[in-house]
Amino acid sequence: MTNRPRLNTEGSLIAGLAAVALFAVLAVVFAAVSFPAPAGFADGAAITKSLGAAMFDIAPGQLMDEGQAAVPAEGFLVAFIIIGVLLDAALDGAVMLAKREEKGENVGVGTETTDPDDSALAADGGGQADDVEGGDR
Amino acid sequence: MAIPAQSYLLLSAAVFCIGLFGVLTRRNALIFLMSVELMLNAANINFVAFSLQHGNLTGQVFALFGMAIAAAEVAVGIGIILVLYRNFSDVDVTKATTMRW
Repeated sequence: MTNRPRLNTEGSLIAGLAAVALFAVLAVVFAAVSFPAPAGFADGAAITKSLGAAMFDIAPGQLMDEGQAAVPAEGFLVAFIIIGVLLDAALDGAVMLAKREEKGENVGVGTETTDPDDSALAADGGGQADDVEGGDR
Repeated sequence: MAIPAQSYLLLSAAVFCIGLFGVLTRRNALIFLMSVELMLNAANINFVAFSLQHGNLTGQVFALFGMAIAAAEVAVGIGIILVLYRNFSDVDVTKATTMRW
């Protein structure tokens, strides 16, 4: 018996035809349009410094050294703070979802549970150490 | 020699459609999450490409924000998959059809 990788054929590929059709439509549309030559950035443009200035709403001229040109951008300080709050909320949400409680007690890895058969490590399928056979798996 | 903007659009459409293909055909919730990431990153490719096209950094800053949104989405998504596994002992999205507590 081999254990080589096999093509995953789960689910139906018929639904995937919608994605292929969407790509075909988009490709036809994009092939038909033409854009002017890209404006690009000047040779001495300090991209990273300008990015930092835009993100913290600092006038880019204050950060530039000799010979460095600022690239225009808008100020994004409010958006930056809102994204920070969003990430904080996402972290709290992830912790809330991952927390496991039994009878009001927080159950974490390494927590002693009252029932020795009820392992706190049930997330791995609940297998105990003694029913794992030795050898290659 | 500058790469024309259509090439970036085509790349972005390809990445988006690969993500959409994954969402439509797969049943594993983790692969769902990866496919949604591909779709979000397709949007980021467009932001960066048009930032170059217009010579303005707004698109690049917005792409950074897009990555932060993607990180927040993955954090919550993996939490949901964890709960899904605890309640259904599987991460197959078609199995979770009841609102079992």
